[in-house]
Amino acid sequence: MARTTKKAIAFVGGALGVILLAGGVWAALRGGASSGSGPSAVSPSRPAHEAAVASDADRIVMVFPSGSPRDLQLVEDEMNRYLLTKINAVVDLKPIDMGSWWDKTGLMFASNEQIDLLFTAGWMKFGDEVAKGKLLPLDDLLERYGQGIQGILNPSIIEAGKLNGSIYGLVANKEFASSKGLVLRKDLIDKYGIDLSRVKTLADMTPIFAAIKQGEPGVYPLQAQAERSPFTYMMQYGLFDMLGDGPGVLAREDASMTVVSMADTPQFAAYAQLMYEWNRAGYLNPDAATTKDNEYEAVKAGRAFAFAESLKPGFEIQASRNTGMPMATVPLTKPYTTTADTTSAMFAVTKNAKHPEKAMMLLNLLYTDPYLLNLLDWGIEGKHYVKKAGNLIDYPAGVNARNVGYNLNQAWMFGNLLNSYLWANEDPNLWERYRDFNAQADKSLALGFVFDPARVKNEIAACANVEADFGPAINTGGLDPQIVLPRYRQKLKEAGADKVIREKQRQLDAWLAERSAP
Amino acid sequence: MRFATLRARLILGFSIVTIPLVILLLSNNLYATKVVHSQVAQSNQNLLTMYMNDMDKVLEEIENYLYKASEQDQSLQSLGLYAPGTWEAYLAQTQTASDLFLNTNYYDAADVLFAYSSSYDNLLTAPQQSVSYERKQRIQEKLRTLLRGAGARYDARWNVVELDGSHALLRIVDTGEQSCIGAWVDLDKLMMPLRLLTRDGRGEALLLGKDGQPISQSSPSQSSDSLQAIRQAEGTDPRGAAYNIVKLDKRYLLMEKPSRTADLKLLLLLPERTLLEGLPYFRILTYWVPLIAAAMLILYLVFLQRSIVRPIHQLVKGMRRIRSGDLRARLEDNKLVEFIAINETFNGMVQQIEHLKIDIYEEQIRTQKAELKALQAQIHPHFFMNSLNIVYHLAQVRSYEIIQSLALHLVRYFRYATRTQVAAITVKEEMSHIHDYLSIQKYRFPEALTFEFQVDPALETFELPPLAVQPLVENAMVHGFSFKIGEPYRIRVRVYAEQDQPDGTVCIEVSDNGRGFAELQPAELEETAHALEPGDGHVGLWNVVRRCRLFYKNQVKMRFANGTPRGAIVTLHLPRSKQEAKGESR
Repeated sequence: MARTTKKAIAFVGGALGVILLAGGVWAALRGGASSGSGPSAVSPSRPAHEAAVASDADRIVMVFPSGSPRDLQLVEDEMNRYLLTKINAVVDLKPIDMGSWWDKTGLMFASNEQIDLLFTAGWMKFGDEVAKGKLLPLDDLLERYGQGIQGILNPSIIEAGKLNGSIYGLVANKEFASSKGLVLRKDLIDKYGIDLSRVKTLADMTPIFAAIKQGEPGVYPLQAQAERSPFTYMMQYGLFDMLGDGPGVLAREDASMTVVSMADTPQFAAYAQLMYEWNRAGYLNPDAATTKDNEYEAVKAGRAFAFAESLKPGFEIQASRNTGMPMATVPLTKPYTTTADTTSAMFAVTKNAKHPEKAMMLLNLLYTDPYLLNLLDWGIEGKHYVKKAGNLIDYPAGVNARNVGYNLNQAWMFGNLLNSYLWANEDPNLWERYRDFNAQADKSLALGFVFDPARVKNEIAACANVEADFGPAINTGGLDPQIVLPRYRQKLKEAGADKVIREKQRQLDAWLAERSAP
Repeated sequence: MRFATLRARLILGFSIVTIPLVILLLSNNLYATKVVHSQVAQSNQNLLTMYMNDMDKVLEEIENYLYKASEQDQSLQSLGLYAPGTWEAYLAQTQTASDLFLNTNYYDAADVLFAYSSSYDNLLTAPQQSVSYERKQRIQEKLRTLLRGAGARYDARWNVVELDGSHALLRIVDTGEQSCIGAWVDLDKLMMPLRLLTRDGRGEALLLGKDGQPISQSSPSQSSDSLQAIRQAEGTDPRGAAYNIVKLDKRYLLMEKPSRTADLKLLLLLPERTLLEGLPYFRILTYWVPLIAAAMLILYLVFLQRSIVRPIHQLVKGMRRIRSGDLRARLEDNKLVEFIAINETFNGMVQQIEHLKIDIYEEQIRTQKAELKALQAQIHPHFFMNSLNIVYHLAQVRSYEIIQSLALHLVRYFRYATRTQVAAITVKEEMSHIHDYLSIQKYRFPEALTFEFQVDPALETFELPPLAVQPLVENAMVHGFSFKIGEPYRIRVRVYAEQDQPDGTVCIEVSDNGRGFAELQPAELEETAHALEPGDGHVGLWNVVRRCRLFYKNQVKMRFANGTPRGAIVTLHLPRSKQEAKGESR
């Protein structure tokens, strides 16, 4: 008996000891296992780009003016997956709202922030940026990595991006003309039985605006801002070829090729007066002079009826996508092609670029690779659109223009538009119509002329300041043009506008001479 | 008193060792918990402070911009001066607006920068690109209401405003010219970095307003009653404590940091479980440890009980039993070497004692037996009957004087014979006794018996045990007596000192001229007399030798020989002095 009890004691004692030991070890392991995930110090500002970006792949920063869709990161990730296999690089899309474009890009340049691909355009101070040395010449890169671009773009179109003998920007293969007009809410058009075919000039809109103002409280008939109003659209490249930056324009119908100051023209005064009257009648949004609200957003929110835009075939469909409701367009000028149109949507490689070669490769892909282009244009197939027949796409079930996660809608900026899918509600022959549009447009007599502002940079800057001061008032009709215009002209003179005009004339004449010479 | 037992000592010893260890373990764990708490709280407090400082710094930067603009921006200052519709008013407006838009790039924490002229109720807003159109409209409306209602008196602090369920901070700086510039900072956006800290249930971060109401939280999973509990915990928070443990649905570490610039407090809640990692398990363990230690103590005690205490108790029990006289007690076998030694020794000792006692008892018994035998031998019924026979015959013959004298002799003889208590008598007394005996015998055989005594006078006082010589004489009478015509049976008793021993041996010789011994008889008799145990015959002789040995504790010899020309000689050699108890050899 003693023996078995002794054994029992030994056993139980041993078991207890083992339990103690095991308990200790288990607790330690348990603790240790979760030690890695303790509250660790977190860096305060982490951009949303925590997604797995291969650390060894080159990162191309692409900056362009646009709103930022909700699913931008998703599309970017998808693009990067593809890009890694193609050019072993990834892209970092950075859309910047047009309203704060200059401030933001200015800051980026000032702080030496990386920008590989930058959107630029003849109407977006292209010449100025070249003059400031912000852009890199692309001839060499184009030769080495841009074979696709060279195959698609017409040589003369490539020429359009040349300045001082070097190519600084590559234009997207798109429509090269524009007509200026208004975009309006179709539902209200129908509601008030407005016949748009009867609208030929801007002034014809007055009664329509009146009707809207009366019948739709809370809806501004015209949504405008200082830089985007019917005035600016009509004047700049609507009735005049702006000939690049700075004062001095060429009237569209003027065969004499005389560069004049736009402020002195009768159309200028007339439209300014019209804007003023409209403003006084309350047809414009009250903060037009100071706001930078996106017109599409305003219409989407049901606060605006119409706004001015640059039009092209099928634009109303594109606009409808942006506002989420059916839109109609009314062109107020005939299609017009200027140098600016041939440089209406370009991408350049900036001096802040870290990977210029890869940037050119990416650009090349946008011209040659439909998959990549359509990813960027429309998003992820199945999520943001579904294929219907051939190249036609539509929203997936349950998705519409208002709630779609990727509504970048800036297909006109990128690559070869002819590769881009068409929406089901668009004309399948849209690209044909584009070609016709291009063919039929009025060509500016100064088409191909690119103004080099190098010699009058200071004056142009001074005039720009004057523009900044007076522009809002004039463009949105905030003040009586009778008072304001004289002052404006005065200030322009003081800023040296005449000098710029003379310089432009000089260069234009030289260019003409060169052209006509055999 | 129970304290002095082995068991108590063992318990005490074990406790003295274990209890401090257990206490150490427990206190270590508690200390570790406390340290972890305070360290984590410290580091998170630092983190919190950092975030709060960041937040405060951002707010301060915006504030500085607002101050600067309100002081230096001409167009802002003139915003309230010119009536709308004038060129100057328009210019002020457009320039102010464009400045605001420009600055939204540099202060991107401010969701909306705005300027307002109270004189003309003119509000200019410049939102960040990220602010949606609708939100901008709502903020604009809210601002208009606030600014109109403020009556050109603006708080010189960041105030919390609420719009559509979310909160923002509002700061307005007066230019002093009936215009002001301000910033609207969305609090949820400020909390964005904390979202990373507190995702995956690692914790909660909360912004509380000055009344303790929650303004913004990093994860919208807090239920309202837990917020209530937080508020209560908030209230009872002692000033200056680095951290607090509150119990909501589980235990949380609560840390807070107030903002310098606004009436805000940032609260951080970390689940205690994640902080302590494995410590709670250790703590559970250490609550179990004392129990296990107690169990082990009990087991240990049981073990010790079996191994040590029991054998010792058995030893003690055995000893008690032996003390009470039971010499049969033996200890059981044991496994332990020490106890094997103890037990074997004990058993051996007890065995020895037992044997000794038995020996002693046996000695005593033997002595008693001897005495008894002696006694028995002395109360010879035959002798008595013979004597009575003689009396009868003498009475027949009517020799009354002889009867009287015989009676006297008998009386003296029997008196002496029954005097067993006496330990020692002198030679003289013994001789006189033998004289009586022989006189009595002479009455039986008046003609046939003669006797003589030859006693050294110096030895008369020599002591010997009583009735040591008597049996020799009896033997001579009984065995040596023979009727012989012409010659009487003569017995001679001689007491003399042996010459050659220095100390001297006293010899008592009884010789006769009777039958003598047979050939081998002397040796046989010697052997029987000197034997350890009484044999079947010649008990008297053995008795004498035995009693003499007991008396003198020294060598006592009895010699048998035949005399010349005939007869037996029995000599008893006695030592002169009694030895001290050296103990007879075994």
